[in-house]
Amino acid sequence: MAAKSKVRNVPEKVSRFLEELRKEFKDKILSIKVLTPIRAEVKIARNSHKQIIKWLRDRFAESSYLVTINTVDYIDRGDFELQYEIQLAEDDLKLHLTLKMDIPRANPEVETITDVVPGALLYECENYEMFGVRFIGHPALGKVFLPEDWPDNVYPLRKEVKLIKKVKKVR
Amino acid sequence: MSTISLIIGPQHPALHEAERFLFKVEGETVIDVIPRIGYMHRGIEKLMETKTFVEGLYLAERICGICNVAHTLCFAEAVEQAADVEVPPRAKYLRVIAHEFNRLHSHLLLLGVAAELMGFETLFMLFWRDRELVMSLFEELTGNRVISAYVRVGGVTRDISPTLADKIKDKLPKLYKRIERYKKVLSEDPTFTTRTIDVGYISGSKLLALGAVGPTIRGSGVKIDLRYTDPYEVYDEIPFNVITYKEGDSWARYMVRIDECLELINIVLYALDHLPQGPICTKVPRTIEGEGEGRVEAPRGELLHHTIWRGGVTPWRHRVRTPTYANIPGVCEMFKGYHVADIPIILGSIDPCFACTDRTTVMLLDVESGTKKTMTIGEIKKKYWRR
Repeated sequence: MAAKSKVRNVPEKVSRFLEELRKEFKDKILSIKVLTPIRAEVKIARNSHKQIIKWLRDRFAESSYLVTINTVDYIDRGDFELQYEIQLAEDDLKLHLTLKMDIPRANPEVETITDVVPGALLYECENYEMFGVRFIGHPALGKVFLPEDWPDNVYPLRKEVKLIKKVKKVR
Repeated sequence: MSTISLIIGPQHPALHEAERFLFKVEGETVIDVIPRIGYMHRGIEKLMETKTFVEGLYLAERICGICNVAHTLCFAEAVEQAADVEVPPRAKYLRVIAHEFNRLHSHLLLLGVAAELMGFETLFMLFWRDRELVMSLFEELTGNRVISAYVRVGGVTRDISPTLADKIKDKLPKLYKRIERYKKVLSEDPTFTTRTIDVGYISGSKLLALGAVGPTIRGSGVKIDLRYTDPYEVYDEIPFNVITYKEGDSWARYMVRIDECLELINIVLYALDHLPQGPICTKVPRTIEGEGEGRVEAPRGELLHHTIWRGGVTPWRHRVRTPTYANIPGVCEMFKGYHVADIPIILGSIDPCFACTDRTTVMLLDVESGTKKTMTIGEIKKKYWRR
């Protein structure tokens, strides 16, 4: 309620930019949802992320950065949702963009963006070891957080891996 | 000249926490760095999926002790956004005050540590003496010295008393003068300047490509501060300057921090003068459906908690992205071309916090589909305690 009322006064520059984004990548942008005047969620078609991120980074070379890459496991839908979060930080255009892309859970393969954004190196590794999302073209896809002797093909943040619920009295 | 691999860490006097860096060294010059993080991986993101927001708040606080207010604030913001709850204005101001106090103590701690790394022990003592003042005021405000448990989902836990407000207003201007003096020391004293000026240089555009955040990137002249670029709480009502330095070396990164200390004292004093009346907490429903993204400017840079709830009492997914994690690719670039002796100074200049970086226990995971047998802490104790 409170959050929704804020959306009305979206700065002109932001709405113009989002229009431009929609025009540039017509069918690759499935939907745009403006959450607050400075946040927007963009649903994009599969395998179009690299193109869009490259366009954003070329346009705002001195004022944008990749915040993080996140994966959400929708086991009931049979999808992984990849979220690329990008911050545009110009003086008159401040916008936090979340690019959401669905990839099938059975074959989680996407193209790497490390050649466009070198800062994605660690984030891609993390999503690989935690969810098993394979980033094709990544220079050194391997373990970052998990120990070296962690078994292959076990991805701890996937929903099928459960926590043991053992409650013991500690004295 | 042949290349030697020099391993620093996981246990090393120059690192205050366990993390390993493999330096490729030619003579005295570093030519490449390979970081290996994950020595403090605790499975917090997975554990968070089994906690309600009341329990999750305390878990979030334990990701990092130094910037605990930033973590709770960020967690609370994310949950409030998902539940579509508006926090009362007085609580917002009180959160800003606690958040800035936390930043002040963190910056003073780092500057003290930096002085100690350079062998400037007098300055180290002076910084930490003043940090003690901040800590005691923080204790009076929140009730706890380090892990404050001040922010709660929907507001804050304690109100500020008029006597304490007067005390803060009395003490902080005195601290301001002292920090101004330290700033003079840091910019003029050769003990500090010779070790830091032109050491660990990196350009702003390179840091942007590597995704660095916080004082690290502001030290290279890029004006990115979430309090300004994505104002949360009441930062859009409070006037303040975003501190940037153009130099891009270690000195600039330390100077950003000391200037921020001065700036944030003004923010606290402004917030105390404009503190609105009213309630300090509001109710939040137990089951939540929605998505929320909390982003705050922690002492080390941008912190992100992204939470997704699908109508249950526990989140479906909770993602934490901490500032030091984002700064690691940047700091690896900074080392290249400088001497081995500069490593602690350069690493110190990003204010590394590895407990934050690794977050996430392997101890509690039941790996059903793998062959690896995992143990609980109790089992390990039983088996290996009396060896």
